[in-house]
Amino acid sequence: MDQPKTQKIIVIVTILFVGILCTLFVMTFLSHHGKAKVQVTLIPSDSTLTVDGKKTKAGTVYLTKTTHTLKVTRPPFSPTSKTINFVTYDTSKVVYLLPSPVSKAALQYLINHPDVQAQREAVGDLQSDQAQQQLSKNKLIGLLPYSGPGGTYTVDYGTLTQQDGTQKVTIYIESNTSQDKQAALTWITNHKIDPKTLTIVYESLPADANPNNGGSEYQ
Amino acid sequence: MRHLTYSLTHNRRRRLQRLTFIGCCLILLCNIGISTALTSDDLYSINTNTAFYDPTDTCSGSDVNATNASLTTSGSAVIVPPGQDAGTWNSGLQKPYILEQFMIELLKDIAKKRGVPASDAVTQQHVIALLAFAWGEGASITNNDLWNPFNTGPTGKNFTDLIDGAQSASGLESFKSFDAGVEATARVMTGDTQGRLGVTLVNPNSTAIDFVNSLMDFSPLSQGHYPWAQASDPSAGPGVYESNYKQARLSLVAQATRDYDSMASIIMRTSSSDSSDPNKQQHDTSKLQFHANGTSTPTAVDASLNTSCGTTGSVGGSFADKVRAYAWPTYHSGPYCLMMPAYATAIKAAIENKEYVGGGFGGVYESAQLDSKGVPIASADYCTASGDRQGIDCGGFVTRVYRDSKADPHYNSGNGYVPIQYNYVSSHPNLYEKVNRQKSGDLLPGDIYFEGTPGSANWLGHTYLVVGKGTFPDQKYDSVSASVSYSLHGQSWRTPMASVADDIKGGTWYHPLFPIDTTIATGTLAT
Repeated sequence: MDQPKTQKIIVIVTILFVGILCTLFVMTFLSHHGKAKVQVTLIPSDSTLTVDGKKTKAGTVYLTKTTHTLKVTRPPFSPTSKTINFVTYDTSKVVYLLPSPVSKAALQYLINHPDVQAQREAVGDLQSDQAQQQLSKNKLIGLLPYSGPGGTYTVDYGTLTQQDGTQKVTIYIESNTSQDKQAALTWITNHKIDPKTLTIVYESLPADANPNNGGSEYQ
Repeated sequence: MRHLTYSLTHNRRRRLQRLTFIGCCLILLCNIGISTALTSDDLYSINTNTAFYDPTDTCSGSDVNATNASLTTSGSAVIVPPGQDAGTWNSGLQKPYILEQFMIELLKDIAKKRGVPASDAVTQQHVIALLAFAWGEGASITNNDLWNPFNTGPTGKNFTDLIDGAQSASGLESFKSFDAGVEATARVMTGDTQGRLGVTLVNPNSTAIDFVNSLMDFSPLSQGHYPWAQASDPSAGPGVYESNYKQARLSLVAQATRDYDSMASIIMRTSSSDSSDPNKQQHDTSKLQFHANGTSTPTAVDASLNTSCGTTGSVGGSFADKVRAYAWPTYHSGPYCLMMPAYATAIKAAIENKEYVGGGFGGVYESAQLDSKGVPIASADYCTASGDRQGIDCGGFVTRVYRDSKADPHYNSGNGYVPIQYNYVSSHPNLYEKVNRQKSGDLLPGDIYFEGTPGSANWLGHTYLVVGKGTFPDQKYDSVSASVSYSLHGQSWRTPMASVADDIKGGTWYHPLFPIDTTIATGTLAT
């Protein structure tokens, strides 16, 4: 076998290999281009993940920047899903998917597998810590609940964990007259907070809330 | 509101027995030459039937001479000074009057009626207590009851010398002047029905929260107002109503502490033609004697701020005390692994007893360093030091508080993770009831949060505890929580610390059916 022919084969194979690599790289680049790179973790790890109904392997997942529904199944747990808008989602945060331990069998599984429950609690606690960081920056809720003089109005808040892990804060204003409602809004404005930036639910005061109507322990 | 009378024959017999015992003790003390050793703390605890009384405690700087307090023999356990139903008050103040002036004058009048120095009564904690209470009652701001900020109704008394117009048992009436309002309120707060309030207000060491506890004291010692309180809201069970009402008063205390200057400086209405619109209240902050940051204007106040008699770092045994001993008083973002010393000690003891503590799988993590006064220091800690993290766990912390405070020594008897804790609570309907919580104002001390609802994504992934505003100096905190982490991400380790209630609407809530002691012993908190 002559040496030039061997060298020629090596060059051709190398070119082909590099070409394939480049093609794969370009294809991968094109397939990931403009997509959100998301880390998806399942607990238990042997759960099954589907994205918009298609079975997908957990780990690093590339998703188009739109809303997707991620669903996790794993008997005897109940399936759960998260619908997340990946246009606004902070992709540095891991998406944790945990099937729900509703049945006795699922609860027994967690008792038998404390390492799995420990991981579930680590996720819950991480989410709680993120909630604390978010809420600690909210100037208004630190002042709540607030009661106007004589209980003529109250301003309070409720919190609810969203599917992306953030806390939705709802402000509640209870009053019985337009004057008192305006007083509540003025109180918020006086703290340099624009009520228009808040999600506000208006409600009536409970019948016994106003001491002038009889709600008091003092006589 | 209406006046109710009811028989207290049985209670009176018990009180008489107790008073006889106390009287014998006093005579004995006099005979051995220490008749003046009964402190105002002692009188306070005797009258409120609390465990505050410590016969060996002589640290109070403002002792009450026992001979100044005359015990009634009519069956009332409250020590009622003679002549409390009469007298006049002359403040010497001129219009315009602000709310704080009313509270300070009221405290002075109460002190006079109870025969103690004004300095015992005029503390900022007492002013805050009265201000918060008045705020909820209308404070003569949004109704037409002039000079009657508490809606005081002189039940069964002849107050014709003070009332402007007809007397109303409902309390919706005006008094003739600022001074008449002070005098009428002082008479009621030292009288036989509400006298426990006056007793609390002349104890220089009592706090605004103590005042709320006294207000809500339905023990046999507090006659008269319990059936009336029940009548205020017959649709709710007594326990529920009392808890909700009490929590609302505690929220007002937190509000008055935080917004002191704004609330205390409101100019009181002088006639019904003055605006009752909350938006149009006039203020005069130049007259304030105290301020929100705890400072006072000593030249203008003839009472000095009280000094705490507590021991540095000491805590009592109540639920709230246990929380304050175990949890940092402020939030620290994770990772934060430094434990309060008392919590580290508790975790070590629990491990020795083979109790559930949660968290890491090695030894107990290091506890905080103490400063020269023995106060734990919250120095920076990013979980980098060698050590393990047992006890740094949400459910481990809740378990320790309930068990170690003796509120429920069997909490989490299955010694396991959150699902086992949930099973314990939900399977003991005699101890815990499932409750609906939507807003922060719905939360009550002792409430236990379990993350999610059955079928939700992270059902039973986290738990935390509500302790109520006022447990920590920073009034924004109403809860305590801890969080675990693992190699999964390693960022959320947090030892127990003050928190703001999160996911209120999304959680599953349980409330204990047994009393939660929110009394806070004096002492210095961690920094």
